[in-house]
Order: sequence, then C-alpha cells, then structure tokens
Amino acid sequence: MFPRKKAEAAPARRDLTPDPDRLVALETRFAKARGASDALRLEVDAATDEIRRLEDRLRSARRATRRNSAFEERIERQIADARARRDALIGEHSRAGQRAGALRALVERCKEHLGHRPETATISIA
Amino acid sequence: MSATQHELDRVRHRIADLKAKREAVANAAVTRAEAEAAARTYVRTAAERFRPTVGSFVERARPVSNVRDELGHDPEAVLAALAGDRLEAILLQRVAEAYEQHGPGLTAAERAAELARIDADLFDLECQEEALCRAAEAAGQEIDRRPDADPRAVLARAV
Repeated sequence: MFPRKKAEAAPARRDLTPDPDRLVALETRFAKARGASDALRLEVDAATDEIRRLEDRLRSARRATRRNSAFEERIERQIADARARRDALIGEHSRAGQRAGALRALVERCKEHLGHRPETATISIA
Repeated sequence: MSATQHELDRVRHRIADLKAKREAVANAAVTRAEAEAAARTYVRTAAERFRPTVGSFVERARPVSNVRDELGHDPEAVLAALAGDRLEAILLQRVAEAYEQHGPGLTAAERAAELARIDADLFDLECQEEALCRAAEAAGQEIDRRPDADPRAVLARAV
C-alpha cells in the first residue's frame, strides 16, 4: 500500500536481550530529572517571593511622606527583572517536568515489559 | 542544536510518520467483495430470523399469528423476509458509493503483510533512536526521552 523505504541495515552487534541494568540507568535518570524539576519549582517559588518583597517595598515607598521617584523607578525595574526571571524559570520548570514525566512513563513501560507489577499509589489509614 | 539532536529529531519524525501509516493500514477498509458479502449475509440472516407462527392456522383454523409482534421486536427480519432483494440492492449500492469515495480496501493477508513490514521498519527506527540516545547520554548530553519508546529497544543489551 505504501512504498517501503529502503530498510537500513541493522548493526551486526544488535543484541535484543533485555538488560535489567538499562532499567536501573533509566530509573536513575528519572530520579535526577525529577530532582531537577523539584529544584526548579523551589526556584520559581523563591522568585515569586522576591517579586512580592519588591512589590511591598514599592508600596511602602509610594506611601512615604517624601517620595523618591528615582528609588521607585529602581524598584520597578527590579520587579520587571524579577518577573522576567520568574517567567524564564517557569518555562524551564515546565520543560524539566515534561522531561521527568516522559522518563517516568518510559520506566513504567519498561517495567511492564519486564513483567514488573505497575506501581500503585498506597493510602495509609491511621 | 547538536548533530545528534538533529539526527534524533529526524528519526523521531520518521517514527511518527510510520506510526501514522500503521494506523491508516490497520484502519483501512476491507475489500469491496468482503463488504458486499457482509451486506448479503446481513440480509440473509435477518430474513432467516423471521419465523411467523402458523400453529393456530394448522391446529384450529384460527386467523392468529405473531406477525405484529415480530414487526415490533425485529422489524429488520420482517423487512428482509418480505423485500430482501430490494434491501440487498440498496445496501450494495451504498457499499459501491463508499468504495468510490475511499478507494479499494485491503484483504486480510495484504493488511497483515503490510503491518508486518511497517512493524519491522518501525523497530529498526526505534533501535536507531535508542542508539542515538545512548551515544548522546554517554557524551554527557541532555536528551529528552520519548515516553512511548519501544521497551525492547530501550532495554536491549546492544542496539
């Protein structure tokens, strides 16, 4: 039905025996990716806190009896920078989350292929 | 973008294309002859279900039968029994129109052979992808994994 592309020759050394060490390596990569994603989440939270702190500072400056426009402008610039940093971090966190999610799905597929029971959530009742 | 990532993207595009082709083959229509045979079987089996009772005629000469009940609970059977040829002609006409629109279908053997060819090519590509991922990881490159990669390739000792 469809014209077949010329098959590329399989490498002579191809050995399709499942290697459990490959799964271990994949799980390690998943753990690292999840760690990186969690760390980025903390950075996003820290950036958000920083923006709030600067906004509080700006509000206080605007309430002051003797206002300092140069100071206010500096804080406004700092807020804009902090927001841009947070947006960039949110993007990185999203990509890291996708990377970790893909690895997690792949680990589960491989475990299933090897006959492992799929992981299930456990609920402890006190 | 590194040369490995570029090559990986190329292989992944080919995998996606091949999976789409596989889906198309798996869902392609059967042959017109098979579709027509199914339509004829549909009419014949429906007609066979219509069994009006004649016991009252035979045993007591009473004008009682179950035709009204049959009309209520299995109208297809009554229609096929009374006008099977007409119904069959209409269905075959509809089948012909469907094939004019969608083109010829595949026999079961053609479908199985095509799917086997695609699966073999797909597995070759999965192994190529895995080899590229391993090479990149060995070089310390950060590579995004495909969540639906074939575990046979991912777990293989050597790809």
